[in-house]
Amino acid sequence: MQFMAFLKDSFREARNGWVLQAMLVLSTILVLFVASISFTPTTVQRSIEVPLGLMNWSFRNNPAFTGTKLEVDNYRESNPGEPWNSDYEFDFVVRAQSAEQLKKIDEQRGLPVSRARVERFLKQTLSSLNDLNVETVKSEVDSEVRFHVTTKGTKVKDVTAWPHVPKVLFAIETPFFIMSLRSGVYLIENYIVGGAGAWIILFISVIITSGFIPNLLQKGAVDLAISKPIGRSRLLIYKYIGGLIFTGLLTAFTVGGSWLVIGLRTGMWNNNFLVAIPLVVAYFSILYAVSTLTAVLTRSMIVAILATLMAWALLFGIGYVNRKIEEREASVAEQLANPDAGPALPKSGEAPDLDGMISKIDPDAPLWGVIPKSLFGTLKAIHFVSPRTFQIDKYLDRLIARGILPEHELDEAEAKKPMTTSWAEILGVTTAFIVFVLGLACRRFVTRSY
Amino acid sequence: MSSDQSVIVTGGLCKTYGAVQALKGVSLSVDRGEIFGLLGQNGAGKSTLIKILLGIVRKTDGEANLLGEPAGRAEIRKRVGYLPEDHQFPQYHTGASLLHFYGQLYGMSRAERRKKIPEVLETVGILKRMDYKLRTYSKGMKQRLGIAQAIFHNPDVIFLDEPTDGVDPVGRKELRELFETLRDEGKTVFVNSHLLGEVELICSRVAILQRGELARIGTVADLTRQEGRYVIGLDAGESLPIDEIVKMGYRCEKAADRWEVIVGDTLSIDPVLSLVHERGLKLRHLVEKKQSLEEVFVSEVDQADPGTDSRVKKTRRVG
Repeated sequence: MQFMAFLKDSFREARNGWVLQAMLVLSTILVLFVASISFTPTTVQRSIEVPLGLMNWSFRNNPAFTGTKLEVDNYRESNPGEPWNSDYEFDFVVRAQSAEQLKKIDEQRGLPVSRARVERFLKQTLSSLNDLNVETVKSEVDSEVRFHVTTKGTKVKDVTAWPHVPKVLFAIETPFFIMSLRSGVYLIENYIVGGAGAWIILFISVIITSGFIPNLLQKGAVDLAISKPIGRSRLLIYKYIGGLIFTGLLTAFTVGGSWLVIGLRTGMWNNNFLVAIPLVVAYFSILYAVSTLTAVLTRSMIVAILATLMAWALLFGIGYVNRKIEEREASVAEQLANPDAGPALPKSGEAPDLDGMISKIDPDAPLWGVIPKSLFGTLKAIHFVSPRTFQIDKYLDRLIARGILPEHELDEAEAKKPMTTSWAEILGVTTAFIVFVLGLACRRFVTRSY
Repeated sequence: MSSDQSVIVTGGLCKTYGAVQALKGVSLSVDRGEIFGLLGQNGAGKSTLIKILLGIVRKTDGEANLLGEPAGRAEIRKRVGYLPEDHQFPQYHTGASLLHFYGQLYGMSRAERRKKIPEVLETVGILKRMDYKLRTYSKGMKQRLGIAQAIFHNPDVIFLDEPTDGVDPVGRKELRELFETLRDEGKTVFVNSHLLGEVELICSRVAILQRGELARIGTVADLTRQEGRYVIGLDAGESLPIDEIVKMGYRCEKAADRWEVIVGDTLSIDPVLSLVHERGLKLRHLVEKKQSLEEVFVSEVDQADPGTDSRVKKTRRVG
């Protein structure tokens, strides 16, 4: 009964400041925004024409290439009703005003004019199609080159993995963001709701709940609270749990609402996404423990907010640095196992791993040129006793990806790589940290005179 | 001095805040069914004493028992009500919701709360405001609500720190009557107050704390009595034979149309009354002179307030 009383009291307190209402409005806006996103299956022809349209636009604005146009001609597909079960055939045509202009275009690196470049461009653009074959066709006009393109089948098993054009706010089409339906849902779940949305929820929750305990400890209020028949530790823990439940409800509303509208709009029910609710609460429980301890020590809401935000940044930083140290160690171990292999060059379109490359040349080089190797041990020790906020974040990304993305897209989301931290370690260290911090807060609260 | 009836007992109670000794070995006991007043200047240690008994402040040394148990136990606090000085109720509550919240902490059922809350709010005179947010309450209303939350769970002991602070004179009278009702129901009311007139009116016993030490304790009658000082009034035109009274060993002073006879600790007033009778004087007024509690308090405490700067006595400059 006492717990329920504190829970209701915390709810009243949160509702009183209008921040809760504001947060619910924000969450509702987020859910409505998600509901406004729809996906329409696109055709292969359109998938090519969108980038070609961009290139043609740049030609129009360049006097040296005025009149140049890239286009698709004689387009045919064997099964228009199920484009993912179709074979494709079309001509890829480059038209210039003159043979000289065509030659000039060919000299421009990257433009799909030669057979090899056209093939590379189409393989990138139509990555879901199988057996893409490009053959040069003799053109009757010397200012034109023509390639005949054929494909046999696709990598896609159903419509969900087929490229779609997203539409936002119910009407605005975004043709430059063509992606599979699964990728689209992953983007919404992982980046819009699980990323930005979760961070906003956490931030607002830190602000709202940071007032709960300082308000309780105000002169005149603390006397009343302590004079009631409830132990001080229990009182503090109830307040703490009240904060967690508040954040849990807010997260459940946002994530659950988004999950529901995504499912209704796309038919994709990624149950892994719902794990975001306990994970966001787990993340918040770490921050709120810090806030609680600071509030008990200082009785100041402002100091509690600042300390919590600093702890948030610090824990993220510790997790990030530790991951980089682990990657460095893995890279050095790989180099030792295969001393003749030089640093791997980054794949096309991939950000270069400069530290990985440097470490293969000089294993003792400071991390990012700043953190000396002698500090690695200390940093890992600090990480060992720190709650695993960074890993919780990474696990959430991975779970969402695994629940929605097709096998060939998991690599891009780095969801196939094994995690270096186990669930048991994350839960164990994080729980130990929370118990320790709350233990300190309770001890101070119990022994202090008010 | 504790007895089976004692509900509050302290022995050699000490509390130190850093270099400041707030309580220096306070020993007192309060019996069931009494209204006990604790007086003292600002910073004398009155609130600290109550807070130790409630477990809000940790004692440094000594004993403090409440209802037969060491002070501070959560279970015992179910039988205790408390109105702190300068209380801050959460502004997001209404009067009723605050009492529902506190009632739940006391383990009261919903049905019990629904029955008791209107009753107690009516008792303290704010029933019509029960569904208004506390931010709309005046200071006096908040004080009445504070008293309501201290008594509505039917406690055995009620601690009230400045209970009539901010309450209008009519309200004060109503509250005094409420405290007396509570006493008649067998409850113990422990009052901290600066309003000595009120304490004098309602308290059966009073203690005066000075600089953390117990300066006086006793019934109001004991504390205010002035041993051996009587005021005598005679019929109009008659005069008391002062010279003879002085010869009998008494001091006698004329004050307006009356006489003040100081008999001292060893003599009795009876010989003076016999003399009046022998002389055929008509005795119209005889009363043992008492001080007000305020006079007792002021004479007991130093002029230096422990929590404020030393005060300089004002003297009238002549010539």
